Amino acid sequence: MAQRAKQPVTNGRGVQFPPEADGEFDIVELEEIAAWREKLNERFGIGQGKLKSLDVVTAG
Amino acid sequence: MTSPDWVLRPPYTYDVVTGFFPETSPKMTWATNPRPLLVCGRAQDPETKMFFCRVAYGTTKQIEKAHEDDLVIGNMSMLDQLGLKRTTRFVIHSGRQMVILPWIAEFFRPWSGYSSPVLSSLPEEMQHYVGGVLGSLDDLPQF
Repeated sequence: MAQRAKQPVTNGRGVQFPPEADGEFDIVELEEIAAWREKLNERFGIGQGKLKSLDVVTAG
Repeated sequence: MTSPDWVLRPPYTYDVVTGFFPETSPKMTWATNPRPLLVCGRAQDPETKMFFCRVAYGTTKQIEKAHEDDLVIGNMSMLDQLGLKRTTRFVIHSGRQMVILPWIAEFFRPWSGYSSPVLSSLPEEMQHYVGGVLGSLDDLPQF
């Protein structure tokens, strides 16, 4: 079902990464996540039980 | 504007994908530099057919302060395998650190050279580890 992405191109010495891979990705504050989640849930109806799970995460 | 083809093909749970987290950033860098995210669950809206992903974000900061349950990728070989260049910590120790996002171009974007936001899939042993952590959480965002 999932679309497999094209893999990074090798140059003989290692993997060649796209420029985005050089990015520094900051920590996100919990309050910021909570506020964003609230907006997402309201906009898309998330958390109301209407979405059907496609898999079950179980303890390994 | 038409949707990219990949929105019709959701990632698998335990895939590493690239997207925007959070919605806004003080530096406003989110729109041009999507970050690695770990898919921690998937769902679909039966009415709209839209796919949704529960995601944990990846960070390259404060690696040394990682929670013991977080997934830290630092091994060069594993970084290469997963399509990551920098040591990355996926923040999976709490459901409060995750959100559920629609699998659409507003929230996900492929890195240059990729045909979809899916970068890679965790190897099986890491999937077991992450599954164990997720299974122990009582605050996972619910679909």
